[in-house]
Amino acid sequence: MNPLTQAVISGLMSGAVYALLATGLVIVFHTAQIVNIAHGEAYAIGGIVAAVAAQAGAPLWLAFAAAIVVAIFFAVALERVLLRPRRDWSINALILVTLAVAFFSRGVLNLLVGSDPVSFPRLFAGAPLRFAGGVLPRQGLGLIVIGFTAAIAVTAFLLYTPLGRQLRAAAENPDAAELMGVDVDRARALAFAIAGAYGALGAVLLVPLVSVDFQAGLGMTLRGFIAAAIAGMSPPLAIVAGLGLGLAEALVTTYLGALAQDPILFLALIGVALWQSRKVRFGGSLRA
Amino acid sequence: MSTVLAVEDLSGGYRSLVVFRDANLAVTGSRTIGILGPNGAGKTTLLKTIAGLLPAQGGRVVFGGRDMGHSRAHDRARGGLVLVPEGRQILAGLTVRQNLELSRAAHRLDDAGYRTRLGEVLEIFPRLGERLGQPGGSLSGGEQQMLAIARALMLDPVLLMLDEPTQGLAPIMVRQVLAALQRLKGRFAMVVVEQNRGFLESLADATLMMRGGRLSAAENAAERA
Amino acid sequence: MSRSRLLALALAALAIASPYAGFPGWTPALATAVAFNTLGLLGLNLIFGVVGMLAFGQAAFMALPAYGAGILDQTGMPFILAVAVGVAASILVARLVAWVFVRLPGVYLAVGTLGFGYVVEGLARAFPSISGGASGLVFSRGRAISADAWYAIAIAMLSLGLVVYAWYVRGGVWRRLRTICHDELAAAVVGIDVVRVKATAFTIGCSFAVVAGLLRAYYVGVIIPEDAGVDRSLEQVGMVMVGGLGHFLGPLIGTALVQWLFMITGYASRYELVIYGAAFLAAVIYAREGIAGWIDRPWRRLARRLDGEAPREPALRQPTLRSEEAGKSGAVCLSVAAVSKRFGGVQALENVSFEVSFGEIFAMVGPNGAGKSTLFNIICGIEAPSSGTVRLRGDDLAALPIHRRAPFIGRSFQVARLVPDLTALANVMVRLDRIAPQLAEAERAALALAQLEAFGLGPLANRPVRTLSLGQHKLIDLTRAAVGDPPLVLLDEPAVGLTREELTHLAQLLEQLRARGSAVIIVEHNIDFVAEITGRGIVLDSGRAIALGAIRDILADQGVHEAYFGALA
Repeated sequence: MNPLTQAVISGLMSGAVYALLATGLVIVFHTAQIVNIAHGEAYAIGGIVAAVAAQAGAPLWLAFAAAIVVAIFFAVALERVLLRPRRDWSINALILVTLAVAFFSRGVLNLLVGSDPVSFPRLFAGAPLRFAGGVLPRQGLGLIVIGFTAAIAVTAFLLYTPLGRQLRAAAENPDAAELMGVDVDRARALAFAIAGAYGALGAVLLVPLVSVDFQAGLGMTLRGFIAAAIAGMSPPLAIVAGLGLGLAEALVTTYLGALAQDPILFLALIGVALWQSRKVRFGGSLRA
Repeated sequence: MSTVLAVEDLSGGYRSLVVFRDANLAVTGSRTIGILGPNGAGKTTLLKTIAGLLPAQGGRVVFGGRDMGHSRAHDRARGGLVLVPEGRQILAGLTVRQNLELSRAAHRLDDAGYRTRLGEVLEIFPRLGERLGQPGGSLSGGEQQMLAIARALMLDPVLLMLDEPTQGLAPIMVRQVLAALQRLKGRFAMVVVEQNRGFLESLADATLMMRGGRLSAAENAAERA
Repeated sequence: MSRSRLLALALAALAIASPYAGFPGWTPALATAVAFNTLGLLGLNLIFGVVGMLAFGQAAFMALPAYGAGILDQTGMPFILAVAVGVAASILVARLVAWVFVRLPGVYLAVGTLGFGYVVEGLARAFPSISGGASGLVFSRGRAISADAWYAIAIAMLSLGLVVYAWYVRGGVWRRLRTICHDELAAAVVGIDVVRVKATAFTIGCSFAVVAGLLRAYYVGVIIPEDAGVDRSLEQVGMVMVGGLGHFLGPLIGTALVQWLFMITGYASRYELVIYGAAFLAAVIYAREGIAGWIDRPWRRLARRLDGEAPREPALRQPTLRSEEAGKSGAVCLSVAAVSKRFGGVQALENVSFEVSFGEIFAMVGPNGAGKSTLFNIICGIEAPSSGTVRLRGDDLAALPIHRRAPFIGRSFQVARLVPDLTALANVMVRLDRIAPQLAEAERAALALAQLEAFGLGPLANRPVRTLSLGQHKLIDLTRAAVGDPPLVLLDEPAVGLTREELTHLAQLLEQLRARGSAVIIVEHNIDFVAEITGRGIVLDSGRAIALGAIRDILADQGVHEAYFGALA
């Protein structure tokens, strides 16, 4: 048993989820110009809905479909009902709204399943793969392959397809894009839907391996934000940053213990913050 | 001749602030109407309201015989009501070609029509043809204005509105823009808002004045700020 | 003492006595906890309500000193020392967190403090032998004090906290913090060291939490990891919002109401989080002013009715603030030498040089995108030149950050950057706070008022800026730039959007500035206006200076006509 290999495997798995989350966060940031603190809730909601559905006896594919649909609905509803009518509010006020939503979501999830972690069966069952002294469950392989493929796919979508460019145009200059016939509201809703779907996808793939509880959302938002910040809010880099974060976290857990995770994560955030500060001339917010 | 655009008692502004009132305007066939006025007169707000970027606070906009009601800007663009906004508003992150292709979001032209139109547009603006692969942000002010007009043309407009197309341009570029617009004159209806009286006199069939939020027939005396 | 103040004191006395009145759930025990929590949240009100910094670590800063002191106490350190170290170390940590995150966009502080809460809670759980783990750390010393005595202590400390808060957040500090909250760029340009002030405010706000948290831990008798956690911090943000963000009594009302409601409805029910989340959401969306916001206006009306109109302050003799360095008319004030600026692939400015003398109005003219704003930004310090120097009275400005140039450079913006809920007078005073700190508040007010009156804006002085027109905003922005007679005044398109009457007014203002000895640079498109009032100027086109000299000459210049003038015929 090679702890290094196991750490790398573990890191790739969580890295895939962070890549999904970071990509979603970046898409929303670029389209709606805010950091959505309720972003990670899509993960928690996806995981818990799938668990509840599976426990109720639904076939696995139905549980997963339900998870993704509910997460998409959550994200789009957030954009449409809460954020869109308030586009003239300050960034701080809008971040606060997303925070309140995260809080509310946690409460609902707590009501649904209480405070214990829940899980559901794996999508990819069967004998795990063994190599180089490490064990990779098939589910993990599925997570890594599907997760990174999805993240890369959406990045390619943004960069190389006309619809993706419309999304970027809607983000860069909503008025100009509208005048060109781009439905900016729909673009924004699409961005949120993608973010929500990806969060749920990550949950559907990862939760069978680690289980999920009602509080998981904020932790995922935190990690997604750190990865996105390291990537400078750039979609392709977000995938790399997510992967890096996953690996770093796994290595820390293996060699320093699980309890060192949060502090190391926090240190990573401090590191990113100090790095970004080099470029800032005067304190505080982005200039209008 | 059919009335392409009829603006009836239109008022508009931002939230509680009324910037212009009771504007009346009719554009028929493929005429070119100029609107002259100083800064702060409400010209940009008027165009934005007609284009659908801002909600009307009173009155209505009738385009092609249909009351535009609350329809949003992208719907109006898809119907052929096109605005070239103030300050060009080029998407700096996209290439020239991609900026032009954005117009396909409006579904006005099929593939063949698009290619034909692109050829025509690049013939009018050869400089753009040389820079198709370059990012929009790297173009000079004049070139960006050309791009802004070009991509509006790719939308196959029935009515083309231009908001201060010469703003910030050196005179040599102004002359080129004027030449391009003179070439396009007569293909579709145009409304051109400007502070530059000479420019409008060379281009428009009729000129209106806008001052202090009111649109009226032009006066002969040269008035400014 | 005014009648409204007597009324307030009477109400306070009633409030203090209320836990003994027998209302269901409102016991002295609850009131004590509420008082300590409120003390901690006064700090959050400062950080978030007044300065606008979103921070989710207040609970962590309340728990940290408790853990610190408790752990040290257990090691046998003398009690007083343990407490002192716990408090000092926590405040130091707050200062470090501020130093790392405050310079960046607000979301970094929000997420950073969120992460900090995770870390503190995690560490508390991780080392049970030291921190007591999930069951927490016990503080037995507090039991020696009776419940009523604790209540008295809590009231006393809260009152002290309120007094300190009120004393700190007023006058110049209030103006400064509100300006930062609303517009950090404007704050820097008027001389506020934004990073330092925000970091200080954050540290002070956390200090409230530190003191309150320690007291509360000894009162309650135990501290558990959840007390430091993210959930608790979020609850606290919610309490402050419900009570009234930025309002003096906001934290008190919010904390009392929420904690009492929890007590009444049964704290441990599973619906707690959902209800709380829903209430938080509703507060954020519909009631951003909170309860204190609803009470505020009726209270003011009542106070006015009780007290009558406030007596007019006797007009103080206006102290002169003419800086000796204002210099003789004719001497060179600003010298720009071979300044160039590149942004990525774009050459925004190329080798621009000119000089402006004291007592002169200098015009900067040119099409949009010619580099005028960039040049202004370089002079103010918002951008640094890629090459070349900018000298003011002979001193190279390169080393000076934006806020340190404020005493010498007054700048107004194309779109006026004022703080809407401050009065015109307060907006002008903000700059004086920085450049004339030696003056008393009343003297600064007199000086600002005199400047407003000199520009004909006297009647507007005490009106909140959001009630004034955009044209008036520009004139007030200009007044703020000109107050204190700085050697150099930069005006960015002051004439845009002004009515004819306001334009005449503006011309008079500019003439006054010139006559007082300042060097004035104005960017303008309105050629008639420029020709009327300026003496010399420069024409920029695509980053280069294509003409420099007397206005009549450059406006008649052939090259200028070809390159630029045609567009404005």
